[in-house]
Amino acid sequence: MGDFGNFIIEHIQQFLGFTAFANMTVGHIIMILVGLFFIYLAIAKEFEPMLLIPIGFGILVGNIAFTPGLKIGIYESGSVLNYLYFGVLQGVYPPLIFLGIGAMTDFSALISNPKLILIGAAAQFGIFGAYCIALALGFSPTEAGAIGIIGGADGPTAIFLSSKLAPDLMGAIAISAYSYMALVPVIQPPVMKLLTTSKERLIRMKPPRVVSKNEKIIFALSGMLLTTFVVPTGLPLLGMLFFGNLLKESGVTKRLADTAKGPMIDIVTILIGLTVGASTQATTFLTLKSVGIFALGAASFIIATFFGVMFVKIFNLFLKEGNKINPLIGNAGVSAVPDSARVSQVVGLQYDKTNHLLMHAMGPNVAGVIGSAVAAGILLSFLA
Amino acid sequence: MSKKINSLLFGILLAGLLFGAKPALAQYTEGLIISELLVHNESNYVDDYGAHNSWIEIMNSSYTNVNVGGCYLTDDLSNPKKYWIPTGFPETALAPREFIVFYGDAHATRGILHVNFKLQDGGIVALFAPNGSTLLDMVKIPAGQEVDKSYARQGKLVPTDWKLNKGSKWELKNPLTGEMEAKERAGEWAISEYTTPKSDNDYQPKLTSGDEFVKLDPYGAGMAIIAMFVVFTALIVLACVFKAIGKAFTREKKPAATGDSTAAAPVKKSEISGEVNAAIAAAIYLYQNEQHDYESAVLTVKKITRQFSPWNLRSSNMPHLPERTRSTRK
Repeated sequence: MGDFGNFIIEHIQQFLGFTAFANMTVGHIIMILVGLFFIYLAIAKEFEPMLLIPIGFGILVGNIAFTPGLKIGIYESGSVLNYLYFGVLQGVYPPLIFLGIGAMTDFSALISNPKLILIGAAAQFGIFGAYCIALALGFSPTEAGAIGIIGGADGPTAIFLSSKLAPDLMGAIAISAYSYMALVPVIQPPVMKLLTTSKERLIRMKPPRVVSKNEKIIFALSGMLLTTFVVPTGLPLLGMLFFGNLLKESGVTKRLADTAKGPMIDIVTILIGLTVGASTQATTFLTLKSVGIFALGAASFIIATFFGVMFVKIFNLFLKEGNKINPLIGNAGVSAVPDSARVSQVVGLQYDKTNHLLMHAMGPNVAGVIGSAVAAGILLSFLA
Repeated sequence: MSKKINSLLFGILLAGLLFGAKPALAQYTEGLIISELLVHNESNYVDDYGAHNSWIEIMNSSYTNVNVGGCYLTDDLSNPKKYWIPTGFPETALAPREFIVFYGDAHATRGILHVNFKLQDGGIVALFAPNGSTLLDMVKIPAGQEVDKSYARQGKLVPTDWKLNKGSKWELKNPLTGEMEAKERAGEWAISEYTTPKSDNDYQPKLTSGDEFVKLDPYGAGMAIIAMFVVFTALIVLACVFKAIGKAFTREKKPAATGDSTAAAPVKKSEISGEVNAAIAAAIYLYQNEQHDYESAVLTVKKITRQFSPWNLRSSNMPHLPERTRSTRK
């Protein structure tokens, strides 16, 4: 009985050693709290719920402490999560998401007023501003490039680039990019209000003209050819974006477009969100570098908003009265679609209840998607 | 119009076939190159039998997986199929930028990596594609090779194109720059102080492109300027193209100016407000996409008929309790 008792106690102890309680560290608890906070933001505040719920839950999944060697963790070869993470590591998911984004995006606002494209270019200063600061803080060139892309406010692009330039930092970069995208309604309005005068905020813009189907088809084709000829390294993202858009605009591939913008993007969003969240295992994620990445992410969003708004103000100096652009849409140059455009609308309505800026802001917003993909291609060409 | 397009497409296809077509080579073998060799091996790389033999290193210079199995190695151009590299062995599958070493010991019975000839001073080594007639790469070994020092490609490890000239001799494919390329190639091959079997010949520590970039641009200002210039250029071009296309399309829609006063009658502006237009558009959209709430039940006058099947027969599907039966003995 004595031996048997010892046997039972020994194995209970062994089992307890396998539980998450035994392997738990303070880092795991912190990360679980972060995950719960994300889920709270998504449900209670409705900040990007489609992203924050999978990511938040992924953080919980990734921070259940386990005994290594059982093929459970996302970083253990052969585990189920590791297989799913393959799509992130090899940059498979981001182009598929871009396909869906292309299939659901209406570029009419951009096509009807092409000068708005330039706002999308100006906001990319956020990327290179953050790149410069990251270099100054001692990050390596590839790390700085991957961190800088957070300023593009484009989750898939950030994941795509960091998987190529700095795979070790991908979790922190992705979490940072998505977090700040969700926090766009908090980060951008103070900068927009600070940089604009009350007169500028009341500028009314001409309603966009109706864009024909043929123009939209030509946009998808020429947009792809022009941008990828300049930056071939952006091909996976830009090619898929415009391909998705052609599926939508051609009018003869409705089924394909519906799949791309519906079930497919949903599946990929679930996989990318969950695995990126799970990649934030406390043991690899909670480092000083991650803290630096978060700080730089915030800085890059502020810089991007600053340059977007300032660019419109300067641009207005060259435009005739009646053609001027409301600088409150300058923030929409970051490609957090459609959140940053929605911020323009909300802030604009605070000053004039009848001045709807959403449609105008969608122009720079979708231009920002193209701009950030181009910027990612440039960083890849120079640093990879 | 469609006839013109068809003939244009046909022309492009034909031109592609005539000028762009290459002999079909299995699995992109044109990326294979001879990257290094050692003729006199006394105390250098040891083969799998513990012997010191001459060796030939082949590299997959492409960025895709290539199987060297099926190709031919030879030291005699008149006999391109001298040694057939066997297929179906995992060691001949090369990952992108991977190397494989063959031993020139004239002992082909010792395994697939041992070829049936020995490397010679002043000789050649050539690698032929699986079709046995396309030369993938060739090296003329200068006489006087030193002991334990390899002869290796020093420059960029890139594939080369070879062709047979009128005198049935192999030469580099591009006739205009062929001579120059040949000279460069001759310079690219050199006796190497360090042998590097199964690895890159450039053994010096290298800076990554990122490090090189930052060496000259430590604060990132150069990157910001170049990158923003490119981003703006790309998007300005896009904006200009679309401005032009937009103008062309809006011009098409404008009515042609005529002297007829009735044709130029101003169109009365609609008095329907934007909100009403939006509501109408939303209703049409919802109607066309058949979007409505999901109901918990559907009322219908449609008769529902159920076909008989033993699969849905309730009495057959209910579990039967065991029944006690009495046997009657006579």
